[in-house]
Amino acid sequence: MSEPSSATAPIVLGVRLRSVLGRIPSLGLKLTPYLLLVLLELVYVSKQPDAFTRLAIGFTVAGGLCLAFAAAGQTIVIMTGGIDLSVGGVISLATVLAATRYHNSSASILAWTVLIVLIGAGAGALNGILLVWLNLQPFIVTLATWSFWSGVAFWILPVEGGLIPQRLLDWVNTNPAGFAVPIWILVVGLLLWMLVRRSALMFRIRAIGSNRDSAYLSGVNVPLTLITAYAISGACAAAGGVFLATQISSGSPNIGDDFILQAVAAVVIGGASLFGGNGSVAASVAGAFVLTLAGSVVFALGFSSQLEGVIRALILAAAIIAVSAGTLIKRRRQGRIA
Amino acid sequence: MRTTALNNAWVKTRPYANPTVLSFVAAAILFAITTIAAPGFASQQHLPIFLTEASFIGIVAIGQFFVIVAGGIDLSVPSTITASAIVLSLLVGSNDSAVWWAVPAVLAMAAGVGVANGVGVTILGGSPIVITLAMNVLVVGALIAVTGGAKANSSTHTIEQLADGRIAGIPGSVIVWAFLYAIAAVVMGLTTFGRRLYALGSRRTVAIFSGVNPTPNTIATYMISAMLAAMGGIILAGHTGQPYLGLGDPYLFSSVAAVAIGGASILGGSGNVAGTVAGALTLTILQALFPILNLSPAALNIAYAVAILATVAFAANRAVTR
Repeated sequence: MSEPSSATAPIVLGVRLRSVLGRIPSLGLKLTPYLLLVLLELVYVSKQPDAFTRLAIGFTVAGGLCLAFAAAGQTIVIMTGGIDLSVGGVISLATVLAATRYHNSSASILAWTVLIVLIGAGAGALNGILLVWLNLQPFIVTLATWSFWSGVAFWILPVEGGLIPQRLLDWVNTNPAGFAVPIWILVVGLLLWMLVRRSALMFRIRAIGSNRDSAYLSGVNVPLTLITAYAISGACAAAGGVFLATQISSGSPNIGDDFILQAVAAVVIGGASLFGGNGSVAASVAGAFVLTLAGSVVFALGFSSQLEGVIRALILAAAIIAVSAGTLIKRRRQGRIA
Repeated sequence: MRTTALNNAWVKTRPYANPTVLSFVAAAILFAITTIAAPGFASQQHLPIFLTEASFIGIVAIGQFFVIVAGGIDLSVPSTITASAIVLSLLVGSNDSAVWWAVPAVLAMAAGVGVANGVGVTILGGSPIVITLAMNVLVVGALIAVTGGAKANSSTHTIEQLADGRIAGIPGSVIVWAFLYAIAAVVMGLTTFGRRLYALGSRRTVAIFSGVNPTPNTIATYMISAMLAAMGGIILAGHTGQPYLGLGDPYLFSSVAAVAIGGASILGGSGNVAGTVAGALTLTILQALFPILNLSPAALNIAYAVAILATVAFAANRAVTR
């Protein structure tokens, strides 16, 4: 192609400008969770100047890390157009396993952590197998397995209790290279996502979410991909549960229930559609920390902690309206009927 | 799996293959087991107590059924129940004459919540899970912001009578349940509104092209669900006497589970209101049976899981052969 002549240059410029401007709504939508997070952090720091120290950030990250894990796994499942309610049971199961099975030795802690994450992956894979094999809805399958794994957690440890070895608690509170362990876990997790986010597996997962029939006809192994997606969610939830156990220094057979709807909310704030096909783990993790930080900010502003729920709901409502508006704009541009 | 027309007809003539019938059979078998294990269970003293427990789930599940049949789901049920119970108690206090305007006021408030859900799903185009989930948080938040989270005492005679008063030995809540079920059965089975909901739930696009306006019909389902959840909350307020935050929390799981066990497809478009009755009875019997058998809550949770998966798997397999 030849270079555009001077006569057509303004037109080319105009077209380019339009395409750049046209990307602003969708770009803005993608950045919403991060902007919200920055905004909340700014408000928080303006009220509590010592909140921007490495120590304070370490505490904030530790407070939201379990939710971030659950939201990360939930994102993968929601990208397929599904939903995973069983994370509640799996998180509880992970905390009670951690509180009852760990011995005070590095080998035991390492082995059981790997085993718990594998159990989580297995629990997730079971969701996938059930919904593929029985041709059932994700909502109802994971509702049942949520109850099932809660039952198993109750069976292992009927009341909150157990013990987390001091060695593990000490390790979580160390600061390798000046940053707290939770921050390192978060950074490693996000780097892992950066590595896999454009992988063939994620591509297949998005393909299933946007149109399962097209994905199948394009040669995607739909059952295997779905089972893998749910296994990832289960593994993430179990990892989050192990971390949660170190934070509460015990195990609890029903603590995971609080995380189910919050994880979905974090994914929604992260901009993913529950109809499937899109989603970003990084954005959902940002959403998880938006929800976590909202509580601290409400407290720092001197409001009663009872307003926390209202603030969270308003953030969620704002995210939903932003996503709906973004979808409407996109549809109008593509000339489809809303 | 494709089946011939002849095979199809055979499926339809098997009454025991109907998921609704099957869910009643399952409830009856469980009831028999429980009665054998604890003969007092079916006694004249205990049966009304058992039915009262079932009526809370049953009433809320009828509302959930309307939403699910039309292809949605209502996760805002727990906070609607809690808010209705607490607001009613605050409005009424110990002033018995206030009941006559407080109950309609609470129902109207719930209708507003339901309409907001419906508008979110239809006009904003959000996923039902997300919209009703946000509403669940919002309603609880608003409740705490307005009431300060205080416990409310409601000990007025009328509300207590509505929940626990006996007419010919039948508890008031059970009569309310039966009454609401009868209305729901007529609406779903005999009215065009009911047919429209089944149509929207089974093939939305086809229903729209057949002249069903999805927006008002969908909004109506969420409104019905919220109002029935409020009705459940009102009766629970009378039953407990002291509604508290978290009163409605168990009903998220149990209302969806009752609809699913009752044989309705969670995808929408199929099922019978009667199934919700069987579902509510099954869940309540299981709740009673496990302590009788000296089994822990762990086993109960696992039994819930098996009950849901078994019935839903059966209903789904039937849907494939249909």
